[in-house]
Amino acid sequence: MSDHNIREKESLSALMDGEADELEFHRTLKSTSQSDELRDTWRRYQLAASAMRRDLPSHVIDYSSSIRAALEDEPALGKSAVISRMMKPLGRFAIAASVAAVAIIGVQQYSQPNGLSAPIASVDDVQVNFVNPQLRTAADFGIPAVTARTVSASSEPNTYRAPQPVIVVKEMAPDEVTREQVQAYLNELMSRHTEHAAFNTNQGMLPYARMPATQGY
Amino acid sequence: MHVCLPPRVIDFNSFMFLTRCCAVILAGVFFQAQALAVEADASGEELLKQMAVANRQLNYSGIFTYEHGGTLKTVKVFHAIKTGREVERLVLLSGPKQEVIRRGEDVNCQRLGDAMLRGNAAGIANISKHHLEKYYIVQLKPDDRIAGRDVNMLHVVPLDEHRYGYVLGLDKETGLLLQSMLIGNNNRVLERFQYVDVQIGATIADSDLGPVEEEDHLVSSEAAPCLDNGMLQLSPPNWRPGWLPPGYSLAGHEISTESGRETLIYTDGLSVFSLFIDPDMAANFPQMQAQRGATAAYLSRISVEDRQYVICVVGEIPVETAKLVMQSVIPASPAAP
Repeated sequence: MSDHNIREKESLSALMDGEADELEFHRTLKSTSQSDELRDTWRRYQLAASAMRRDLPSHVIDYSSSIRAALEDEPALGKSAVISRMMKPLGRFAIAASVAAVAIIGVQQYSQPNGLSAPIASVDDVQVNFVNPQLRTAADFGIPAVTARTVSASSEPNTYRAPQPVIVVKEMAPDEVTREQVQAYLNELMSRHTEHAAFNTNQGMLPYARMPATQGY
Repeated sequence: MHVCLPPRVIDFNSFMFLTRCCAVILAGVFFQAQALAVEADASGEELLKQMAVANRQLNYSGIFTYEHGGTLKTVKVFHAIKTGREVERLVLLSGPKQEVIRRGEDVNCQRLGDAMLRGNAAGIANISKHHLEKYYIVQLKPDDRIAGRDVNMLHVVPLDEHRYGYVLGLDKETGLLLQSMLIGNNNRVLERFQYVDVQIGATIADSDLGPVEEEDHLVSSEAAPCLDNGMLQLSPPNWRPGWLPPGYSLAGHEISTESGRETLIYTDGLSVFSLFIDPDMAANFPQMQAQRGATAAYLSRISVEDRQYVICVVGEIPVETAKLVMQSVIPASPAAP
């Protein structure tokens, strides 16, 4: 086996492991398309990999040669140069748009409150990701305060939210009780609680800042 | 500082001398490190005590921001001691017009929360001198600056899941609380309080403490009695929770003569929750839980001898804890209420 051959097989192996760089990737694809021997090697490697993952199919059927033959018989798609020139920037735009969409989805997932710890009505929460997520084992919040940044848990990043208390009713309320009544009642209790807190938490004015921003409590 | 110059010719004696010398230095470094650690520890607790005093006994005025969720409030504050009494005025600068005024608070009045934090709650049943250390670890962090002033940064880390943690910025000079972040589960910051600008120690003009207008909110301290000789004089409650998160004690009790609503206040020195029992409310309130910033509320109904009551726990505690307290509430005695 020649050195060249060994190198190509190494490249092939790297490509299948996802470790080939871009140049190697294209070179390997090109040489594979030109060499029956490399294509055989590819098949063997895939089989070996499947065997190692224990998901070997019971029958191995090779469609590759028939697909190749069919592709060679297929007439090339006629497309005018003008259309292709017009489509090119559009394609780029589409890619850019899809990247943006991925970014938005990513942000949404990032700021989504997680499972149990998330209160039912979490629209109001500030979420901060500390560098070290292990609060109690580290006996430490593990961050300088500067790295704390607030992220709205809202899934609509650009909407303004008025500072309103958010109350979510867990059970359906009977018809006689309106949502407003429930909110008013809870607001009143929260205001009362604020006073108790102000007298017992040693934090001066802070509890008053929590008072609901509504008048007439 | 010990300095050992190595001799040119190392014989056995000087070798021994060197070894001993190094041992002394090492031991010195070791003990020094230990002493520093103890000092840092002590000063964390000390700073908290200092904060409790400073927040109440100093004259100060300034503007702070309060942030939770996507919302930010800006608030102007005046705090003064006038003839031995605390006078406070808060003016909301954003959102609806609102003022909170506190008048005539005896500056020497200590409540259970003060006593717990200052470590002199001993003598009150079940409260040790080192109360706070049983439920939180207090750590001194590198200094920072808030509102143009140098601050000591403290991390107050809870030791169980029944309370939140705090990141506190305390003014180096006076001990006044200039920044506070409440840290919930998974290190989420539930709220942030921070001064933008503050003047400490200057006399506050009477005009700044403002006339009380009709729409202002006047704070009532009825439900939060002062300690009398280290003891709390409370009217006997008709209800009690069968379970309390460790470290919390009853700090206040009140029965409203108008509505018959009974209020019980519990604190661990840093965190407070209130338990409300309302006999008057229609029985139609659904069971629910709510959360605003750091404040959780859990509401449910209870039926005792064919009478319906609404029970609600409100506090800066995890909602799971609020739920546990709420579910355990029982009449204080079989005959009552």
